[in-house]
Amino acid sequence: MRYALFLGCNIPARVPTYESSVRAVLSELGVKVPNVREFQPGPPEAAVSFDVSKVDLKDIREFACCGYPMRTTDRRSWLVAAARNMALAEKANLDMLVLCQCCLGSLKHAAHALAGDPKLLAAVNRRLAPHGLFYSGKTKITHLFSLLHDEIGVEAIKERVRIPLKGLVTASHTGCHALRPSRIMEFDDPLAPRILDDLIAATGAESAPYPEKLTCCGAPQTGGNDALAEKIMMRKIAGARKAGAVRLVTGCPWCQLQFEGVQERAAGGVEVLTPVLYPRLLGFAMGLFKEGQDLFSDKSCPYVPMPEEPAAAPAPAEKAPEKDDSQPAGEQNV
Amino acid sequence: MNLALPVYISLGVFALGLLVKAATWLGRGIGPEASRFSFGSRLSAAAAGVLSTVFSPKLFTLAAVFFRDILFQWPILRESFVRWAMHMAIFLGFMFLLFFHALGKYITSPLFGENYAYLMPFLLLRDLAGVLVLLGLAVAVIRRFVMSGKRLKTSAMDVYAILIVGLIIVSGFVLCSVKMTSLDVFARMAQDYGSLDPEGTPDDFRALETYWAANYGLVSPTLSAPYDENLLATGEGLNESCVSCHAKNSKAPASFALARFLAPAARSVNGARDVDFLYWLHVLACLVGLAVLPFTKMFHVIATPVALFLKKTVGPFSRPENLVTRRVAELSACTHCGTCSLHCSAMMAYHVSGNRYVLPSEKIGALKKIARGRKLSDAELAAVSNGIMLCTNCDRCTAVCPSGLELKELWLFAREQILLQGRPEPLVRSPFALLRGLSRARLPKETYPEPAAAADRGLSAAFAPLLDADRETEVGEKPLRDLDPSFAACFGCTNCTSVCPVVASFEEPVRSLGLVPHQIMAAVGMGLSARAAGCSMVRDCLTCYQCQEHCPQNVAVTDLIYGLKELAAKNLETDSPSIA
Repeated sequence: MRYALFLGCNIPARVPTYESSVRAVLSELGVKVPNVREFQPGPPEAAVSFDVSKVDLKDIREFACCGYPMRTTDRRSWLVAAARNMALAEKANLDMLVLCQCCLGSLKHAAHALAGDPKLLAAVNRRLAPHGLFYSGKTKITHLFSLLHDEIGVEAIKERVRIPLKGLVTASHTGCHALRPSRIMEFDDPLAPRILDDLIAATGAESAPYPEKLTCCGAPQTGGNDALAEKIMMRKIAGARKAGAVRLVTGCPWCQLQFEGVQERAAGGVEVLTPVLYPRLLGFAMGLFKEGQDLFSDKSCPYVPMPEEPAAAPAPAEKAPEKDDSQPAGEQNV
Repeated sequence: MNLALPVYISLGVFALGLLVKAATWLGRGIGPEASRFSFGSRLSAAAAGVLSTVFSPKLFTLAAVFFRDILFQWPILRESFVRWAMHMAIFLGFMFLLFFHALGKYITSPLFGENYAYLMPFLLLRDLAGVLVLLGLAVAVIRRFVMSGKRLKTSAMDVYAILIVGLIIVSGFVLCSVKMTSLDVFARMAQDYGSLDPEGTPDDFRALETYWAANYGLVSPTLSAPYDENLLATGEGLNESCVSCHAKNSKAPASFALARFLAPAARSVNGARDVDFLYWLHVLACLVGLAVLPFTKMFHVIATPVALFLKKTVGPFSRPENLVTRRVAELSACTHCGTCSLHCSAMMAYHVSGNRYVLPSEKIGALKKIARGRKLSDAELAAVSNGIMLCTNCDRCTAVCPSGLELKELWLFAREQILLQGRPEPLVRSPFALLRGLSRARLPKETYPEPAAAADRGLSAAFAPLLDADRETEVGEKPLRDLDPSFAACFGCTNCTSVCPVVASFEEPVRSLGLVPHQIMAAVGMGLSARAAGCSMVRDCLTCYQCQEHCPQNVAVTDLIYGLKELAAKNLETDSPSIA
């Protein structure tokens, strides 16, 4: 499959480590990735059973907002914004690899709405025509997790894991907009999702079941109804902590930012859970990241690697979380 | 007329303008916290900041900025080679003319002697510098013209900037060429430097005139080609004494070509008075341009370097007074080049809605007015607050800005200020609010909740009458075209309500939320969409799609709530709720 990497707005501006770790992880798995930032590659002789020639990744600078936040007040803007991105990918003869659940939901929803309404599609294309674009509907929208799980495969990932995260109990948070509505998203089992849990298992870590696994992180209400957003989030965190998790594994910048937002209150005694983006967890298990090992550094919810595990596991670092390869915000988003 | 007086007047006005600008940088404010600081505290904070920078290693960083970003203009090159070439052509050409031509008396003359202006290489270089500026201007005009469909807006100030530079250069060229053709100018030179005049030494004068008509572009009313060979030969001999202080005019190819082009018309416009007129036109264009510079777009020649320095010296660690001052200074540093708008992530919202304030470059214009204390009309304020909320905070504008403006910070604080002024902005209750929520620790605590509360008040107005048990409610509005018709299949099983994480967050959900999801479906079925859209459940919906996933009847519950969110916002914007 040939993909255009779709980053959306939040990742380049506020979660640049998501992008850099995805590029590093996919490179390590053998995919030819553009604009890779530095990382520590594994031994070249390590075998990967996945046929790397099947995946090709490109960047499209002209991508813009997927339309998700516009949907609240203007359906037309949402559809045109989403269709513009899909039309750009179509023009380049590429499918889209999406990292953000909300972008994924927005694009797939828009594609679904346009596929079922030729009049609407024509109206949207009239808006795209002045920009030299046309959307026919042939762009396929894929999430990073689907690529890792279904195309690359858990086995191929396991082969590249050099520091199995034995003893790390995590809670998985797939993200609502990827899971539901399942008839449109066709991503995972909406009631018993397992893609992210399989991927976590490939790193050697454990994904603990917890009752709030399917609930929202609260991010869509942040800034509008902060009290509600926090209530929703804290209930989820409490459930995951009760299940024994010391890290919350995410795959969406909105969820990640939402969970990060409460971190600083750990000092005030609030029981929090450090969120870790899945490609960072994986990259860490692959031994790609030297510094800022946020898996260890968080004293409020510590992870102590099991003693019998490989000596390769580095010592706990005293660094602040999520500041490993600091990159000027927004720089990659142009 | 003496040149000194107009020059002093122009310099005086310019200096006064700079003082006024400096005062506005310290006196005006952007951001809800701006009014907290007095002029004095801003001034002392700025002075302390400047002093602590000057006496620190930061000075080396600033030197690097000066050479790389200001002289070499790296931020423009990074964006586009053509635009860099355009700007460099104007910048280098104009700077050459400023230092070696306008200030020639102080710089060029001591270096190359008094007659440098008529000698090589300066004669050629001045010509080339003018051509360079004109080429740059031509690209600028073409760019503004070609890109106008692509979110590049051209304001009166942009037109002024091109016009004033163009007028200075074109008037210079025309002056130069008309002087080449002018018999009066020639006669004065012949008199002053060769002691030749038509009455006293008619033959020699005639010979030199012929030679200059043939070789220097002079247009003589009595001579035309073919010229008398003997006169030419004598003229060449006489010219020997001229060439030491006046190279051939053809060495300034552009002016010379223009002189040739103007030749047919020259006879009627090359008198001493015409030359004087052109001289004053050229000089006054320069002096007027200089005098009003602080109040035009051309002020960017000062403000943009300042902004590029501030980028390296003022940040979250700085005193809050300086953050406010920086925002105001940045407004002056915007050149309205439109780079931000070309890359804006929310561009399609602009193309669909037509609200120009979605575009960053246009928001700056509105912010300038607001900083100046100008009252915006209600409609304009509503458009500005809609535009500043319709920002995905992707920070691209900040990343691409060639002037180094920290736009993301500007938006963050200006947004709070604007939201407090206008009518309720429904977008505060949309995911666009994420960044203000994440940044709330940096925003003033007292004002932070107000925009969302105002939006809630506005959006819930349509719903309030439903809570009045004694009030009759008209049911049965026409079904809304954009609403998903699947609501008709709802049989009230309450699955949606029981899986809703928002409902589960309240002790008394109906009291807190107005309606819960299955009630909303029922209300839509009864033709009460516009009223139901005002309940807080619609605003508080996370769009997590639990309800839709769990509906046994395949009602698109979340999609319907999305439709109601939009309906509520539209009703609030139009102020004429479409309520049956």
